[in-house]
Amino acid sequence: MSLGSGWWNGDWEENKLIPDINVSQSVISCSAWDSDTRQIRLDDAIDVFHGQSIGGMPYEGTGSQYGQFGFEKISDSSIKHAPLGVTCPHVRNSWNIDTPAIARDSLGREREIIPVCPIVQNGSFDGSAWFYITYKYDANGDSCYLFLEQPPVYTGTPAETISAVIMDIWSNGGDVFFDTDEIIDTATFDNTYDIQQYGTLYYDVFNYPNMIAYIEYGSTVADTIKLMSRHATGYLGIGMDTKIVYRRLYAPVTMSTIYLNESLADITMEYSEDIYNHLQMRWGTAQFVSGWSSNPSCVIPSYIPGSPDFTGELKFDKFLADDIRGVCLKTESNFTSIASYGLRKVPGTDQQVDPGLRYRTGDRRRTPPANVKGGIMQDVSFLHHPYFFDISKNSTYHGKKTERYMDSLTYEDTPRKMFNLKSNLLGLDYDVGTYVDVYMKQYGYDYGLFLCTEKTIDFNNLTVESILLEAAG
Amino acid sequence: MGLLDSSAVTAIENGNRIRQVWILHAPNTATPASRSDYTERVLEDTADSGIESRVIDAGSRSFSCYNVSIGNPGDLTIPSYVVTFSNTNGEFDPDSTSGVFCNSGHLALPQRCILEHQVYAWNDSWVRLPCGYFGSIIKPEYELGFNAGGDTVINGVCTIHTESAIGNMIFGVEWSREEHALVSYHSNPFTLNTQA
Repeated sequence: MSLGSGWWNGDWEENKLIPDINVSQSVISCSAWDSDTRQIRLDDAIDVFHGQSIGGMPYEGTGSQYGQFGFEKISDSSIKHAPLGVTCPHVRNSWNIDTPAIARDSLGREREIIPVCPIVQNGSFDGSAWFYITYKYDANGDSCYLFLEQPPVYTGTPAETISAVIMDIWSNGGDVFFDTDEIIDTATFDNTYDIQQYGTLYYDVFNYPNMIAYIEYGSTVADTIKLMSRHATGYLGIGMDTKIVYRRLYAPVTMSTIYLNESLADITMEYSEDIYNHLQMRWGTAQFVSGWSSNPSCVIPSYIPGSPDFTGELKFDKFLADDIRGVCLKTESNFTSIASYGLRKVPGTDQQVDPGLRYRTGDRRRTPPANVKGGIMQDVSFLHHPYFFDISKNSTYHGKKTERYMDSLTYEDTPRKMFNLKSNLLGLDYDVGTYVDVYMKQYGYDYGLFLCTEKTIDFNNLTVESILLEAAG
Repeated sequence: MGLLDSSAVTAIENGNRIRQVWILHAPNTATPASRSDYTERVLEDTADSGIESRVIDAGSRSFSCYNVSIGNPGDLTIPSYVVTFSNTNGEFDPDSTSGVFCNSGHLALPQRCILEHQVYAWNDSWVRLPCGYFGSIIKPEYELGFNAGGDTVINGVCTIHTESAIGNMIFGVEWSREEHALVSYHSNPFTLNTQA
C-alpha cells in the first residue's frame, strides 16, 4: 500500500479541505448584541460548506434561530457531509465575545481576537470545525466588524497531511528548477503511510490516526509539519540528498549494520559512548483536545475537551504492547497510568478579573463562566499536540465516535546509550531518521538498534560523523 | 544494506578515488519556466583536470531529524553549506557579465542561482554517493584583491553561503492570511454596547 499512483500528481488535494462560504446567503447579523449576556448571536443563516469536497455535493444549510453551520462531519475514518437538520451541529450561543473593555487594549486601540470555536450539538462535542473569528473596532470603538474565516484544513494520516502541505506549498510557488521527485523522498512517505506492511501487529501499533490539522496564521509551515509529525512516530527531516523525508521504522533487513572498533580503509572508526538521559518517551491516547484559545472570552462548557474545567482520564491504546522490537513504545494500563500520573487537567495560567465588572447585580449571567473560578480567570493554554485530535471508531466519548486525542503519556526513563561515531564515507550508508544495528565486532557483542539522529559530512576530510541513539525499550 | 550499493561500498572500502563536482545553475532569464532555462556551470570537477581547481574549502553539511522521541523531539533543520572558491580571475564577481552568475546574456543575482554538489566513488565507473546537494545561495562573500592600478577588485576569494533550496522553499514559508485565507467574510458593522 502506498499513497497512490496519483498522489504526487495532485491527489493530495483531496486531503486538503478548502472551505467556502455561500456569501449570497451569509449574513452575519450581529445586531443582536446582547448587553446582558454579552453574546453575539449569529441570528441569520451562515451557510458554510466545503466547496471542494470529498464525495457528494457540498452541503448548504439554511437559517435558523441561531447560526447554523453545515460542515463536513467526521465519521469514523471517513468524511461525510452532514445532512441538513439531522446531524448538522448547531452553534448555539457558544461564542461569547467578551466586553469591549476586555477585548480592547488599554489604549482603546482595535484589537483582534482569534478564537477557534468548537461545534456543539445537543450539549456535547460532536466532531470538529475550524473557524477563526476575528473582530475589530472602528476608530471610535463603538462599531465592530466581525470576520469569519476558515483557513485550509488538511486531513488524513500524518504522512498524508505532511505531504499534502508540502505539495500545496510547492504548487503555490515552488522553484521551477526542481521536479517533485527532487523535493520529496516519496518512498519514505509511502513507507510511513504503509501501516499494514508488517502485518496485524504493526497495523495496530502504527494505526496512525486520521487527523485534522488547520493552519495558524503567522506560524511557519515548519511548525505545522512538525506538529503533524508529532502525531505519530515518523521521523521527519531533510536527508543527506536534501530531499524531505518522513521515515518510519524499517524492517531489520533493510538496516545497515555498523561494526564498532572496525578499521575502515584509511580511517579507524572512532566512537564515544554517552548516556542519553533526557528522554521521556511517551505514547498513548487521551481524551484531550487542545485548548481552543488563550482568549478567555471563548467559553467552552466543562464537558468539552478544551475547557479549562475539563478533566480527562488518561487512556492508553489497548493495542500497544510494552515492547515492539525495543523501539519507542511502552505502555501502561489505565489504572497504572492514573496511579502514576493522576488525572490531568488542561493546563493554563490564571489572571485576576474584576468581579464587580462581570457579576454586578442584575447581570443575567449570574453564574460565572466556566473558566472563571473565584474571580480568577483561567487562561487556557495548549496541550502537547495543539490542533490535532484523533477520530477513531474505537474511541468513545459522550457516546460519540469522537475525539481521541493522542497525547504523549507513557514515560520511558531508562537511560539510553548514544554513540558519536566518526567513519569514512561508509557512514553514508544510513541517513538521519533510520535505524542501524550496532555491533561490537571485537567482542562479538550486539548493541542492538540505534537511531541516527544527526549526521555531519566533512567534504574536506571525507568523513562522516553520526549521532546514534539507542532505541528505547 | 542501506543506502550504498555494493559497488559504492567496495570503492570506499578499497580506498578508491573520490570525485567531487560543484555546479552552479544560473538562470538564463529573469523568469525561468523550467530547468531548461538554467545553465550549468561546472565550478570544479576533481576528476576533470581540464577544469580549473577552484575549491579552497569544501566545507561540510549537517543533518538532523525531528521527532526523535516524544519527550524530546530534537530539531528540524534546513541543511546549509558553505564552500570557498578561489576567485583570482574575478569569475565570481556578481557584476561581471562573463562570470559564473551570467549566462546567455542574463546576469542573475547570485541569490537566484543554485549550487549543486555531487560526490562519486570510483569502481570501474563513477558511482554517485547519496549525498547530492542543491542549495539556494544566501550570499556570496568576498576577500577583495587589487588590480594592477591598485584599485580594489573582486578577484580574491569567494565564499558562498547556501541553504538547502528545497527546505528553504518549504519550511521557510510562513502561513499568511493574505495567501491562505481562502474564505473571509465580514459583517456589516454593528454597534457594541460598551456598558458593562
